Amino acid sequence: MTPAKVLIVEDDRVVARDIQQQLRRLGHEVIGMTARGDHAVGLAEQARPDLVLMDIRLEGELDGVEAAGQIRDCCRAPVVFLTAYADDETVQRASLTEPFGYLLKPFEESQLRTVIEMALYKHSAERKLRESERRYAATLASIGDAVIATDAEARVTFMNPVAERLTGWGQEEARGLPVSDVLQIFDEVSREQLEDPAGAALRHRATIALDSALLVSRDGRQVRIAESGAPIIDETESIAGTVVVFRDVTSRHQAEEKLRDLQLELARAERLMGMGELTVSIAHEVNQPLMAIVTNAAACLRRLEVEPPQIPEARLAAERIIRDGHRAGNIVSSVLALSRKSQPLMQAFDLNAAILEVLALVRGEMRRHNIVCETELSPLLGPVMGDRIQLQQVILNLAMNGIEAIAATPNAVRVLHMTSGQEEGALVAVSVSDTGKGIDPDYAERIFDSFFTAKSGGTGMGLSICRSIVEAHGGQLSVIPNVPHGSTFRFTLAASFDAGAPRTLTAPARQTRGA
Amino acid sequence: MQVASLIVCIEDDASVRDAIKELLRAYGFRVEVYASAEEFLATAALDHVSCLITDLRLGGMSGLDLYRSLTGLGRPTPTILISGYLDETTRLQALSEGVNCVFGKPVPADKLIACVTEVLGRSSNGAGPL
Repeated sequence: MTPAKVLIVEDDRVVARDIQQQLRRLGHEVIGMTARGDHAVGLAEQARPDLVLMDIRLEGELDGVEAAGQIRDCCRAPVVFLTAYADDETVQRASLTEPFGYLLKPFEESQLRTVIEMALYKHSAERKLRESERRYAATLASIGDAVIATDAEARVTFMNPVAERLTGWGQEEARGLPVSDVLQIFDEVSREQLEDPAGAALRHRATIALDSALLVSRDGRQVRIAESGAPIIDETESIAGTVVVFRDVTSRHQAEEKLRDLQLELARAERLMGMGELTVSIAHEVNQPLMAIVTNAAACLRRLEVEPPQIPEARLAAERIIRDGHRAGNIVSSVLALSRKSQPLMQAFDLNAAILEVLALVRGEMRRHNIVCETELSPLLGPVMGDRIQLQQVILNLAMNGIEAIAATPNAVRVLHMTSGQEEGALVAVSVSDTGKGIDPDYAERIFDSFFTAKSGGTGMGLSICRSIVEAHGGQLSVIPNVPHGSTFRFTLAASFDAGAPRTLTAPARQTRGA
Repeated sequence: MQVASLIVCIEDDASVRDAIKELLRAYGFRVEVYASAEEFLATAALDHVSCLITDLRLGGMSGLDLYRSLTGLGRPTPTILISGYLDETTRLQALSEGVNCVFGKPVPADKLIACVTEVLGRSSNGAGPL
């Protein structure tokens, strides 16, 4: 037994002295005795007792109940009432002071011992609980993550300061509200509202984590967060509530976005550089015969201008012009053949995953132009045979075209829509639709031609190369106008090829295979 | 009779080379053509050339380096540079070093002839077209 410092408040001095002796026998220390309530409060403040034994009827203006209330408020010392009688009204009044026990006079020493021990135990347990609560509150207030606790109905019971700041709700006003009112989260791309993590954790009885979502605060601020919700399961295996932890990942996202932008920039620069080198090389190869042609033509004219005209020399020069003209033509044809000639590396791969990878690359671009991406990727799609990288280039190209088309068109609807799905036979189809201004019908026939471009700064090679790649895979790339605006580019692929049959796909294969 | 001034054309593309030769001959100039600077430097034409027409990019030594070498050898030769890859920096650089004319390909024939005529007319041992 722990010896306790006890304050005795008793107007009957005989009784007080008797209690004092009993306490000493039990090993406790009596640090003060008084018959007055006001004195009791002063003594408690001064001596900080572990326990107060308090008679209800006292001398002076304060009775025991009032004194107990004041001692509780000032010193948090546990109070045990001693009383010779207990009418309902007194008991009820006394209970408001949260007493740790009652002892009806006269009492046995063993009763006194039991009540004191229970009171001390209860007090110490409460103090530990308070300390632990304080420790939790201090911990939760000082950590960088936002924390919201809920009850089993997903109603807010606690919010730490970070959670208050991120959501814009104060703990007091949010307490008791459904957590979905306080924590409004949306999908970053589709902007659909997401189920709050507390509700999800309650439904699944498991921790639900979300890597990235958009939190819209009470005052409309948008913050990118990562979050998780975990159920609190008590000792009876029932759910007592949930804890939702989330944090602001805007800066992480900005860094990631910057990285993606850089990658995209790099890819574009590589593409342009590739195109630039190709262009310079083509230009030079075509320029030489052109140079020869104009020079021969000038020589030819000169031979015809002199008197008398030098016909045989003029004829020779004209023949050279024809020869060089054909040479230039051959160069152009071989460039076109070259662009179709690269052989795809055929492997089975997950088309939907490949599409999502490309979308991750252009996510920053879409956000910059305020474009929402919708995807409808068929979960039934099996593996597709093809050159994953080349097909990703096609998808990237179509996605970038779509984004550029939307970006160049001021309209209310800014949606890039991507689908994948199984077609008839052994075909799969991928489509990319934009809400841009659409393709001029006059150009629709020519957009897949090399060097044809309707965009300022375009090289006119993108769609031509895309078509070559798709055709090398035994598919087709086509475009159809959207209603009311925009275009849909759609390509098909053979879902699988005959195993073991090596294919050299050097010539454009416009028919579809597999079906 | 006075021997006509010799124009040397260095160009690695045979069609272009022959076309320039044909043009200059149509205008009555005496022309020799070579496929590279090295080939030209190995011949006696080096001692008689009055005007050099050279492509900038050749298989080995570049046209501009050839011009610099001749100047360094104490044989500064009036030079016309032609190039399919011409940028403004190269053009200004060449002109600042004393190259007479710089043309991008395809070269306008009348301007080429005018430049050749001017170069030969200015040169002390030169003569006009036949």
